[in-house]
Amino acid sequence: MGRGVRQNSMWEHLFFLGPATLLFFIIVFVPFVTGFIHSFSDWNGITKELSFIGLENYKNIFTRQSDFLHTFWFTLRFAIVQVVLVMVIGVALAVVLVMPLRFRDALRASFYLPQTIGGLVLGFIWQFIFINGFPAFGTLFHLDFMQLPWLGTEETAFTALIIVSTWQNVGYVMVIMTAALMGISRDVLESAEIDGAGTFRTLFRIKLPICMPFITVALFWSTANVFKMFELNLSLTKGGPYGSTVSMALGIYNDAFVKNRYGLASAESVIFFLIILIITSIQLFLSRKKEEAYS
Amino acid sequence: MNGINGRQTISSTILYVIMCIAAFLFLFPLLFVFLNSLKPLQDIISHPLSLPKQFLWSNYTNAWKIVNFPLLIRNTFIVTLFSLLGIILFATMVAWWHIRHPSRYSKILTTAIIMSILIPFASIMIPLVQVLGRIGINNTLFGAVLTYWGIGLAFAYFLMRGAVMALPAELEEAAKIDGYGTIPIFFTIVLPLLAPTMMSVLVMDGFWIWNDVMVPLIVINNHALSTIQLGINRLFGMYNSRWEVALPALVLSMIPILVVFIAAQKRIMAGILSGAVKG
Repeated sequence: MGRGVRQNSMWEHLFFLGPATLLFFIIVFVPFVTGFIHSFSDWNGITKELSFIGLENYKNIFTRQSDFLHTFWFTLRFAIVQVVLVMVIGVALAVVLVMPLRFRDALRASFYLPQTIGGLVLGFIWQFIFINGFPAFGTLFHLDFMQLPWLGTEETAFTALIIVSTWQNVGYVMVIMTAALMGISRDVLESAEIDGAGTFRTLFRIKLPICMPFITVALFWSTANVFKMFELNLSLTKGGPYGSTVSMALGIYNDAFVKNRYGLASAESVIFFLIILIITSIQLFLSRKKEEAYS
Repeated sequence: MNGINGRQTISSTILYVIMCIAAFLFLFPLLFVFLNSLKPLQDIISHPLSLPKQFLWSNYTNAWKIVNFPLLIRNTFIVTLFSLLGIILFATMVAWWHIRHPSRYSKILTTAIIMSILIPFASIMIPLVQVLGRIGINNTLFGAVLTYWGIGLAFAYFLMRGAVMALPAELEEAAKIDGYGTIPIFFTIVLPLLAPTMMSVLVMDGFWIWNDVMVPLIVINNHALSTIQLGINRLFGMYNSRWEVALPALVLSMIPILVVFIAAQKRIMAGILSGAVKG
């Protein structure tokens, strides 16, 4: 009897755990480990034999023999500017759109819509707008700055990417913050009103501090998301002009699949993973501390 | 009292007007592309701001043929559908089993799966291509589906764990006493109860997979297996600045998403919300 039950439950174990375990191993674990091993080789993706060159790839990355450091600085600068913009605008939209306005749901949906369309398509749409739309608007309204060769110089291409990426991602922050603001209990707000706190005081002293856990969720998501930027980069600027707007993910893709430098790209992948790991760990640590401080 | 109300109405009207203008500006890029997609090329280039003189729907029939839209939609639909089914099923199975039958092994696997949320796809994509080649499924739609199963597992598992923990075990115990086996209990009792969380996963991963470029780009080489995103990407490589083909193709590629979003807007927002808040 006892044996029968145990045997039966072994099959059940296999049935419920098997698929997930297998998927995790084949798709995540094995590639992760193999990538790490490849990062010590100069493999080009074609030859059968692996020849190991020690830390050569890593040395090349840090002595600027590859573009990786450049892609890191670009992604970092980009992330700082974009995340600040997305957070400020997203929170502002959420604050306004919890008020009882007409067509509130339709307004929310409009701000969320770009989020549902993929980065690749959005990038191509905006490529058209920057090349054909902006100059025409500039001529019509006599705005000189709109006539710039938007995708042709380093600064303007950076700005263009920021504009599109912010436009795309504001909706997500707005949705999270809307939930946070709607979750604040009426009692707290009523007592604030009785104590004579004004709209802005209530917002900055009561509402936003209460929403802190949600704000950190949004911040966490936005930063990680920006650091993994690929699609928008691929379609809007293609990393140009002169490779000035290549994100880390696009850089790794190019090194591996365009330039056939698999070994180098593998080392870049390892560092990419560590960077994401560090960022998310710091953020998780900070958000926990903040939550403790406010509770 | 009246004065305060009056002031509030005025300020909320102003806010309302500002919000409407902002929303219009937000949607304008899409409208701009749509209007230009109906013009002949010379009008698109020399008068991008004017309304189309007549609606040139033939741009759409051309684009439809050039990118072979039915094929792209079919491929994208197959990949998205099967990926979602697998992600949800496998994540739910393992999450439920781990919560109901905790063991040392389940703890290790849980940690490993959740840690893998931190692994960006870019850092596993190179060897992944080789792994798929070894199995013999690179350059197949199943190769893409399997990849999504693997990398989608972590987030879905994370959400499902939370959902399963909130389920009372009494119902399952009662069913067990009534003689139900484990697998029937899972499929007839547990799965339906987890439907709300599944909706979150469905919505978030659905948009992700439908719009994803990275996985198809590295897994699929065969043009006959292109997804919408790959098709659009290739089109822009070939028809560089042929906007009268490119713009209608872009609009076509957005239509399925827009239809789904407009039809199920409230549910989608709710699904994303609960996913985001728990995640």
